[in-house]
Amino acid sequence: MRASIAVFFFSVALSLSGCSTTEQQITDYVEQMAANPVDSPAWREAVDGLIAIGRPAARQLTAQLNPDHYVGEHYREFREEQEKLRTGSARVLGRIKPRGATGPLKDRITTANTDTERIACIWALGEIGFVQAGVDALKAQLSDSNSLIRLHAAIALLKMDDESGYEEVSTALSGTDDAQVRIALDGLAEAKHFGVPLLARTVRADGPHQSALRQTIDQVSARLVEQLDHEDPELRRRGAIALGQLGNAQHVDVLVERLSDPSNQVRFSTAAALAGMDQAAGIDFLFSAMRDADPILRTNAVKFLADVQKETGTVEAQLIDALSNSEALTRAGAAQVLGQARVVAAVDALLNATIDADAQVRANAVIALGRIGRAESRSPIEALLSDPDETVAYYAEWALRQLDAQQGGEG
Amino acid sequence: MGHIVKIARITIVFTLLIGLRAEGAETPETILIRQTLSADLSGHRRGDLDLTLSAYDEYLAAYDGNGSSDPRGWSIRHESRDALKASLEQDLQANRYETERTVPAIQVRGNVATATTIDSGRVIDRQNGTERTVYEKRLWTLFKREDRWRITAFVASLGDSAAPVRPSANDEVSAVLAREEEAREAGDSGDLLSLFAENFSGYDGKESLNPAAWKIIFSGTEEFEKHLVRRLPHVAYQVDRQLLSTQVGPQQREAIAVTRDKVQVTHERGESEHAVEQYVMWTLSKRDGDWKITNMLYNLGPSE
Repeated sequence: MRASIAVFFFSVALSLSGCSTTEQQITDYVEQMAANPVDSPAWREAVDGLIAIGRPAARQLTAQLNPDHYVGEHYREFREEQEKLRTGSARVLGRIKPRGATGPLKDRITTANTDTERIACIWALGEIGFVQAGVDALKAQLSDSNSLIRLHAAIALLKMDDESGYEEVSTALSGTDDAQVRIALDGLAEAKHFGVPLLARTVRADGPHQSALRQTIDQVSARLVEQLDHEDPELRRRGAIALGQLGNAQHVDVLVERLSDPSNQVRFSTAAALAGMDQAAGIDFLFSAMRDADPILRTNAVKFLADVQKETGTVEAQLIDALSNSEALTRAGAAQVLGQARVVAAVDALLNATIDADAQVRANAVIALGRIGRAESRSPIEALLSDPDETVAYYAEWALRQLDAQQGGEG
Repeated sequence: MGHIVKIARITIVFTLLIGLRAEGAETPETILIRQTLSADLSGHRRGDLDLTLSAYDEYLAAYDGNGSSDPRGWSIRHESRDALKASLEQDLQANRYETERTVPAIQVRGNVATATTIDSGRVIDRQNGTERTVYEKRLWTLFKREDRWRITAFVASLGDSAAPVRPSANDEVSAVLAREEEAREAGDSGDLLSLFAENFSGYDGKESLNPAAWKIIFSGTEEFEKHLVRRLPHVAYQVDRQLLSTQVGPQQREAIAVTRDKVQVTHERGESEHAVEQYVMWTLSKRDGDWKITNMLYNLGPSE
């Protein structure tokens, strides 16, 4: 009994001394930040030390952002000291990402603060990720008179999956201000999959800084490949999509491995990414799923094939061919995808499908023709008004209304 | 006619809503502070000396702003509650007050509060009926003791006119401020604290001469001590202080001084040096034989 009491008190004493040691470390690093110029080696060392401490430091660092903190016990008479602490705290909070810091951070990005503080807080908001209040505050900075603030706000928004700042980043990347180009590229590199659509668009536009852009893409690609093994399926899914958007053939093998991912969404997104790169493995995966007995897999296949066709057009020929496949499920799925992607080149094949022996194929073909809305479809669709299958007849009527509406609109 | 009634109703509701929003800034403490300031006003209006005095703390200092918000032009008006009482007795017997008071700003930190007021109306001589129009801005400091806020100091007749700087010297006050400088440079919190009164308060003047902008940074010596314990191990101060003006009351019990301080700190944990040049206002009191600092206001607005 005595022994267990002694062990208990020893553990309590140990944990208390652990707390006070961490507290002391935080205090020391905070003093080190206050005592050294922003971005000096000693200042960075303090920031890194606090990042290593992580969450236990978050409360104290969040407090350092608030101007009202510097009164009473915490009074510091020099504005520069406060700037060093606020900037450093924002940098650390951006790394340890406590959601609760968004409010205090967004309050410090207004013009009442120094540019150094604002930029650090804007960056931290972007790193913490989507919080509506943060997005709103950042959007307000897109009209700031300082182009650096606008650029940092645009990058932070991009990291929150918000496209409002695309133009600002594009402008920086097409400009001649090397500092701004560097900031934009570093921001895109940090943004991981969120920055890929803009990176892909910019590199295709063939503007200046192509070599630097390609280097950034290589950097991002390497991280995306790592992301494919992340425990969070959403991150794996976004990683696969982003690699597909970059379209680099050297990533085909790692993407193909993801076709056996335990998550349905990851498998389908990867297949779509590969199909968008015109890779047989992805196209075959989606077509195979389109004739699967499981209706959920078929629905997924149709959705992803439609997206691939709309975005890249790489599966058009296979879809049209599939309308003459021996399996009814494949023909029905292909008709559905062609309609959703509104493929005009498929009209003739779809008209043939309106006399298919399978009612589901006829129904999907007539829906697709209604969506595509070509005048030459009218009389074959009218013929289906008296189809023995009620569903086909119903959709024939619907498709005619679509044609009327579209032709009325054109007239 | 119906329209006019409707518009009037909407206006009343709107006005009430605006009123409610403004009242939203009120806290139980600010309500109590308003009551204290109201007791002073009501006492004046009723000619009730006891009611007026009930608003004041046993330790009181009153200053005359002489039409300026710049402490370099202020002088000592009353050095104790008794001196105030004697003055009020005469004043309330001789004059009838018909004044209103608005309170534009109240700031509270712990047991210390400041308030600014504007008194307007007229003061009538009870004997000959002559009237004097009043429009007076005041700054008040209050201290909460046993759940009651009482006035510990006020500056009357604040204004926008340039301060007629009254350079004067007092060896004792000068010595206290020199000791404060030395103790700070030595990093000796014990010696430093011995120079401050128990209910000391500190302010940041925000480089302004508008008392409503001054911010309370220390409410009481205990908080100041905590600050020193936290701060002094990490920084070394170098202070270059020049005493610009000192005003001492006739009883030699209250004083007000303004210094020009060049303050520089170096840090134990790094290479940065921080420096500031600022005017500092000090009020001092000699209640128990030694002069003690009762208020300290850093970053006082510049003298033009």
